[in-house]
Amino acid sequence: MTSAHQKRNNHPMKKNLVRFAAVGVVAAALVAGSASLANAASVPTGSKAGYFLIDSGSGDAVAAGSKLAFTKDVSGSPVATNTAFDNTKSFEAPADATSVATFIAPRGSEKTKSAWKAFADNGFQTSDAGKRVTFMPAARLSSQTNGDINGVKANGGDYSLGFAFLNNNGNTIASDAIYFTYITVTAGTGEWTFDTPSASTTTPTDSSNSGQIGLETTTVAAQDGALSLSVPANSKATLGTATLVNNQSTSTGTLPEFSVVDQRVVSAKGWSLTASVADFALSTDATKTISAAQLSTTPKVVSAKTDAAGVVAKAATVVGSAASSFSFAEAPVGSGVGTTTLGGDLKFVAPSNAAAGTYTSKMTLTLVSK
Amino acid sequence: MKFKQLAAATVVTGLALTGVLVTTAPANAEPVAGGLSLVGSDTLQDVANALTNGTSVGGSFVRLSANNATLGSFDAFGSSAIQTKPGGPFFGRPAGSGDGVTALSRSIDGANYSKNNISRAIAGQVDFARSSSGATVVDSGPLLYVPFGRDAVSYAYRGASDVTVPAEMATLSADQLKQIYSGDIKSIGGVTVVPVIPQDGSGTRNFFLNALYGTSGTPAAPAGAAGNPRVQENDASQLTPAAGTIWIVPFSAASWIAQSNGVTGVNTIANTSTQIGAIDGKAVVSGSGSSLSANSTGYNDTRFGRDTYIVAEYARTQTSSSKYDAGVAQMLDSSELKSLANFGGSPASAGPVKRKFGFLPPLNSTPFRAASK
Repeated sequence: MTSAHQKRNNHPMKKNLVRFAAVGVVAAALVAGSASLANAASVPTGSKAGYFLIDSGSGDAVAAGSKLAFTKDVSGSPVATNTAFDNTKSFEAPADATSVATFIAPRGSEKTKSAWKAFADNGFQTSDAGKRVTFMPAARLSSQTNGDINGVKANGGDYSLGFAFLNNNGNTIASDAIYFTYITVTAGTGEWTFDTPSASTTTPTDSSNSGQIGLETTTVAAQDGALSLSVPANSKATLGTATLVNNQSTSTGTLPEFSVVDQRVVSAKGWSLTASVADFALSTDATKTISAAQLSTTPKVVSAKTDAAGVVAKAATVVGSAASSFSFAEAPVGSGVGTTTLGGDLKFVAPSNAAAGTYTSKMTLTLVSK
Repeated sequence: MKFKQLAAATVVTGLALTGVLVTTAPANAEPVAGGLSLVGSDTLQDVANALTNGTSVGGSFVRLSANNATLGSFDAFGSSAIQTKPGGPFFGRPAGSGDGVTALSRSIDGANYSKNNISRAIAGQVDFARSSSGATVVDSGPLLYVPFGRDAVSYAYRGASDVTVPAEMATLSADQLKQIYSGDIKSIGGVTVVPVIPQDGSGTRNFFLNALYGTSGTPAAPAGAAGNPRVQENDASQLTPAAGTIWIVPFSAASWIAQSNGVTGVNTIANTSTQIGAIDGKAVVSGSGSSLSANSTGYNDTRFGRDTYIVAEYARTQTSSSKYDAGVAQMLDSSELKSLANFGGSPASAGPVKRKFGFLPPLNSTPFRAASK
């Protein structure tokens, strides 16, 4: 990576902006699109935010692309460099966390502690801002002394390196608060390389690689106090760089968070939320469309930002047969009072015969009292 | 585990019935070390425990590991016997720096180590000795002394509840201390002063007496303290002056600071009638309560300040030796952030932990070799 790239990585704000803007939805054109985004090492799926590696002695960023010795002493950081050892640049612990551990895990199994290859206890500190945090968790491979650290070194391979806030005596991840990056270990020597969680280093300029899904909302009249749906203005879900799977453009994205506020404390009538998705239309030729059935939605309740009890996220819809209107979430009678924050995962598969270009659609959310 | 406990209980009952008090039966053992082991000095015990067991007191979580395994540091006091390695022999617990270096020497040469009425071969059972005192340099010696941090020895004192402690007690001179320990001064400000010393094998005791008397002519136990109790070093709870008296004992400033900062397992100085003195008026502590820190005025004193050490077998640090052990070498390499020898500034290194436990960087950071003990 060039120094210009690294420089850019030092600006987390920029990273976020870029991540929200970068998109790719459609078929054939996306082959070129993904090539131009090859450097777009993003935060690995499942990591709550970027996990940077800094030199434990100096706080400098560990240069992207470096090959590190097995015992090289590096630490995790939410920012690319921290030479002042500012402990407010740390990972804030969720309230339900009772312990902390660093780990080396097979990719995709980060949230399953029993699958971790090697790990070690870490701890909480109090930041200068008075928050309970973990500061500079140990990212040195040889410090992961539990499990099979010798096997990691001897066999090498692709892993995730990170740390997690835990509860239930260290069995489970607390509030999905897990942070990691991808590493590759050389068998025998244990030397390793890592992904720096930079955002796309080149903002895509070819608009044919971009597509957006707008969101519209409707709000029902309040009953018995306020029952309301609030969606941030100009919400957009962006689908990430598409890859060709069986010659079909496949991309994934995340629905922006929105919330249902139910203050009907007395009656607690419950509510249901439905979503409808319009067919996707090509921006340059609205007569060319892709069925809304090609978008699968996995509704989710964001538990860390939800204080309402009893809300159930409904089942995911299936690509190819997704109904254009489906039930998103439900609070049965007697539940759902308070704030419920909702979100979801999106997956879009364009048919192989679809014309290349940017397609847009809208998801309309409707909140109804029971 | 349950089985073990039942068996141990039976043994104890049997002994009690016969009316014999034996100190050799290993009671419930502490866990063994997962990797390298440390024994020895009480003064370095708490900071070594923190570094080997993991601590956040330095700002980030720091836990030392060597050869991809954690280390085990064994206290100077506790049950009479310890087992340091899986399946290894139980042997008498080294109680202090001198014992620690002796045990390390027996671990190297394979001869029996004797302590607490147990005499046993302990080859390979001890990797490091914590030592609060140095040794005579012997260039070809088998031991390597690696500076750990700087401590100072002062004196702690406590007056009985019926005594008004004279202000002069806070700043006794080295001469006064020597005369107190020699039995030539028996009272300060009209109050009887009772000099007590730590147990045999205590590095703090040896250092203090050497500092008072000079290396030649240092009594094994000074006349003034003859007949007085022997106390565990750095344990102020053992100062129990009789009515009308003040007890005085040499005390590690680092241990005092660590206890005051609340980073040790046990705080023996919480009783406000226990104080730490400033020899010749040179203070060893700054601050108060849980934010106490080392005061370089006392620490840099050439007579009562001291560098402390981690001792290991020299050959194990040499890549040319068949005994070379990368983990041992790494633990003694001050450039390694998470090593016993490090005194860095990064919160992810050993340095800030040592500071929180009352140590300053060693005045002389050069390792040296010495004879076995």
